[in-house]
Order: sequence, then structure tokens, then C-alpha cells
Amino acid sequence: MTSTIINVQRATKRYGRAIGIDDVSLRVSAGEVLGLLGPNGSGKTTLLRLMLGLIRLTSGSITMFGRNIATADDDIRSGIGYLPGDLALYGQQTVRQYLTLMATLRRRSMMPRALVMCERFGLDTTRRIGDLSRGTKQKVAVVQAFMHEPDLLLLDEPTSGLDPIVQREFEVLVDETRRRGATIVLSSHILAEVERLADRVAVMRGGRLVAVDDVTSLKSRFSRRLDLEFAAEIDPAPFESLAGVRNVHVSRRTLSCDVLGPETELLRTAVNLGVLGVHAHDPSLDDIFQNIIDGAPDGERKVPA
Amino acid sequence: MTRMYRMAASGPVLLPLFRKTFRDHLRGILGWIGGILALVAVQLSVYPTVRDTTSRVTDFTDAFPEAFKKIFRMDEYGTAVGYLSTELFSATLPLIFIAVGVTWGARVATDEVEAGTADILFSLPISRRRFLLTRIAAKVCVLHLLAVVLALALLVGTPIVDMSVAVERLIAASWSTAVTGMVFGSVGVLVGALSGRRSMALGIALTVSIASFVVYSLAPLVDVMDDINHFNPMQWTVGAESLRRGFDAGYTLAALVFAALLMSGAVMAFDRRDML
Repeated sequence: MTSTIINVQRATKRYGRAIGIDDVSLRVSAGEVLGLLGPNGSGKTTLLRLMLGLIRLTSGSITMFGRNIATADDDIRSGIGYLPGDLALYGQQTVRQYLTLMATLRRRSMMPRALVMCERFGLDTTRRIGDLSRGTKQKVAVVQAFMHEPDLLLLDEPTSGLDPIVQREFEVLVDETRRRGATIVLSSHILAEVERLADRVAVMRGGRLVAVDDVTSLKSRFSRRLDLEFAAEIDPAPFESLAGVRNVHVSRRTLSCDVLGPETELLRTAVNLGVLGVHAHDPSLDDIFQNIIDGAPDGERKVPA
Repeated sequence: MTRMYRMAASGPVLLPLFRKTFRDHLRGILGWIGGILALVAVQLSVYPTVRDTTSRVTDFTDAFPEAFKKIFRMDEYGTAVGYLSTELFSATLPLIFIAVGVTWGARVATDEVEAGTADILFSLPISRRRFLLTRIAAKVCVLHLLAVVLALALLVGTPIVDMSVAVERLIAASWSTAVTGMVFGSVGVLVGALSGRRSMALGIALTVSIASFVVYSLAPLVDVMDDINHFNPMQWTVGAESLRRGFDAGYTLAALVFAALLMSGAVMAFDRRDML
């Protein structure tokens, strides 16, 4: 029995005529990590900012921790940590001054933990924020979002600007946070990142939610592109007849194809023909959307162009 | 430590942000203080010369067209009160305080939004109303700080140049000037809270200030202006001529109520608007 932490019902946000999000309904359960996947301008940021009450709904409703955000008081946000996508901190302050201000405004003692996190991310707390690089500022924002051990984290493109080593550290932090039972919603336009971190994925495009599914079953709907390398020139015919295999191309000793569903038969055939190596490409966002559109029954899951 | 957190939680003002606002604008505040001190020093140091040549100066000012004298409220230029009114309290000081009030006022609801820092700030469990009240309180405090500096400068300076002006008149006039800045600053606060844009808040608040000043200036000459001038914030503050006539409770109350209404409107608008 899991409780619902976030319940978005038929949420619509318009800016004048422009649409931020359109008729989005979504539930997030306690302890779950939900990935919001979509290209820039697809409404991920709008959805997160609506949850925080930074912007107000045009219609529909959002319930957080069982309370409607339109009527709840400001304390509802004490259990939330937020990492904005468009980062702006107070440049005049040092890292320590900034985090102290945030802690004071949260009215709780959390500096010891914040300083431990700074050390973990290799942050020099005496430096002025204005002098820091984009990636280092992002680390400060990460500490700010996690330092009070919130029950819910809303992370907008959290790894943008972080170098690969820090990204790894961040993923470990997300994992620890999940294990202590917190709920996490994170947005990204990189499938691999969402795949590594999230239990479920909500795919957005043009302000609409086009698919919500767990990562494995969503992935099974995507075709993956495989490059198979052989010792000698290869005949594509045995591959073209396999179920789920499409767009077979041969360029000398390399055969490329798209595969939907299990790859067992394809790999067996390849092994029999003496394959040397296999290289798999993760589907791009465009591929995902194409798959969602292709896989949708008529009239459902229409995606605006 | 815990005590600090509790203090931050109580009362309508968010103390950490209040202190931060002051720290962020310290240089600007010191600049204005320096400016006011310099202005007062220059005007007072010229006074002995003016006084010693009173007859000639008054002859000279008497020769000014009547309309001109009315516009600038140039009465009794040779007396201490007349001199201070004309040189400082009828235009220069109100304009300085309006400049401070309007530039600060335009920033109150807009700077965090335009800088993008509002995103993290309002993701914290703090209320937007309290945030805006805090920023308004900081603005009002700065204006009063400048008024105190002004009053002190005059209280210290006037005896040195043998001016005899009643202490309570100087205090009343200084406070009235601060209220002028507050009134027109509150226009900036309101427009900023409604639009979220500093440039618009600044533009509209300055336009209102100038229009108000024009109506006030022309009131002695044009009947229509005289009629509407009763509803003119400039008349309630600068027009009260506290230095000449003493503290005007009615006008001051009108000005304070006006400012309070605009700022309440700003708080309500800011509470509802989208942080874009």
C-alpha cells in the first residue's frame, strides 16, 4: 500500500495564448523516482514550477502530500527540495553564507549536514558564488536542494553542467535518497540518465504527457539501433526476415539494423555467421516519440507535431 | 542557533532577508547619505552670504515674475525658513527622496524575479506576503534613515550659520520629505508587483511623480489644477510645507494611507502572480 505524494489532475497552464502544459494528469507514489523526459520546451519545467506554486494553474488541480496546493499554506514546501533548471544564486555571497541563509529561511538547523555534503562534492565554502563556474554553482544548488533531507525532491535537469565524475556522485546521492524513502521527480532530455535513475518515466512533448510507463516496458517499445561487425562481407538476407528487425543496411563488414523487442534471434543469427562485435545505440528522444506514435492505437496518444 | 531560527519565524518580517537587503545595498545607501550631507553643507554655507545681502537678494527675487515665485513657493527668501524651504524642501530634497523611493520601490518586487533567484527563494517554506513586507519594510527604513541623517545635519548645521529654525519644524519637514519618497516609491512597488518588471515600475512611478509635481506647481496659477491638487499626493507632502507651517497631521495621514493602500495592493498582487 503506497500513498500518493503528488496527484496532478487535468492540469493546464496557459501563458496568454501560449500553452505551458495541456491537460496533464499524473500520480507519483511515495518512494518512487519518476523521470520527466522530453525535449526543451515540452513543459517539464512548467510542471515542476506548478507543483511548487511558483506559477499558478489555469485549470485543473495539483495535490501534494494530500493537500491542494491552491489552498495549502507555505509550510507545504518545507518537505520539498528544489533544484531549478535555470539556475540563479546570490552571486555576492560565499557558498557558506548562501547555504546559511537558505537554512535560516527554512528555520531548521541543517548546516552540519550541508557542510558534509559540500565536502563530498568538493565545494570550497569560502568562495564567492559569483566567481564559481557553471558546474560548481550547480553543485551548490544540489546541496541546497538536499541539505534538509526533504521527503520530496523536484530536480529540473539536475546533472546539466556537472562533469561525469560529479554526475556519478550525484547519482549515488539520488540512490541514497531513494533508499531512505524519499520521492524524487527529475527531468531530463537524456534517456540514458532517466533510465539509470528512474523507476518510471513520464514522456512529455508540446506540453502534453504522451506516455507514462516503467522504464523496462517503455524501452521494450523502442527499437534500438544495433551495429554488428563481421569478419567478412555479410549478406543481409538472413536478418531481414527476422521478426522485429527493420531497416537493415550493410556497409562492407558492418550490418546495421533497428530492433524492436527481444534481440535473441538476431544475436543467435549473428553468432552463427561469426559476428565479431556488437554495438548498441540507445534510442534518441526523436526515436522514442516516433515509437510512441507508431505504437499508439488510432486516436490515442496523438502527439502534436 | 535555534533561537536564530525561531526569530526568523516570528513576526511579519523575514529578518535574514531584511539584513541581506541592507547589506546588498550598503554602498548605495552610503552614497545617498553622502549626497544629502554634501547638499545640506553647501546650502548652509552659502546662507551667511545670502543673509548679509538680504535686501539686495530680496530686491532681486522680488523682481521675479509672480508666476515663477508661486511655482517655486518663493516666499521670504531672506529668512532662514524661507531660504531652507526654497533651496531644499520645495524641490531638491523631495526629488532626491522620490528618486530613492522610486528606484528602491521599483526593485522591491522585481529584483529577485528578474535575477531568477526567486525560483529557489519561493520554493522554500516562506510566504510571498512576508517576503514583500520585508522588502517594503527595508525600503521604508532606508528612507527614514536618510531623513534622520537630513534632520541631524540640519540640527547641527543651522546653529553654526546662525539660522534660527524650530527643532520640531526641521524634524517635521525632514519626515515629510521621507513620506514623499515613500508615497511615490509605493507606486513603484505596486507596478513592480503587478508587472514583475523593474523598468516598467520605474517608468510609471517616475511619470506619476512628475505629473504630480506639475499639478502641484501649477495649482496656484490654474484653477482646475488647484481643484484637483487637493487629491494630489505631492500636495499632501511637499505642499504641506511643514517647515513654514509646522506638522500637518491631516495631509500626512492622507499620504500615509495612500502609500499603505498601494503597498497592500502590491502585497496582494505579488502573492497571486506567476514567477516568470
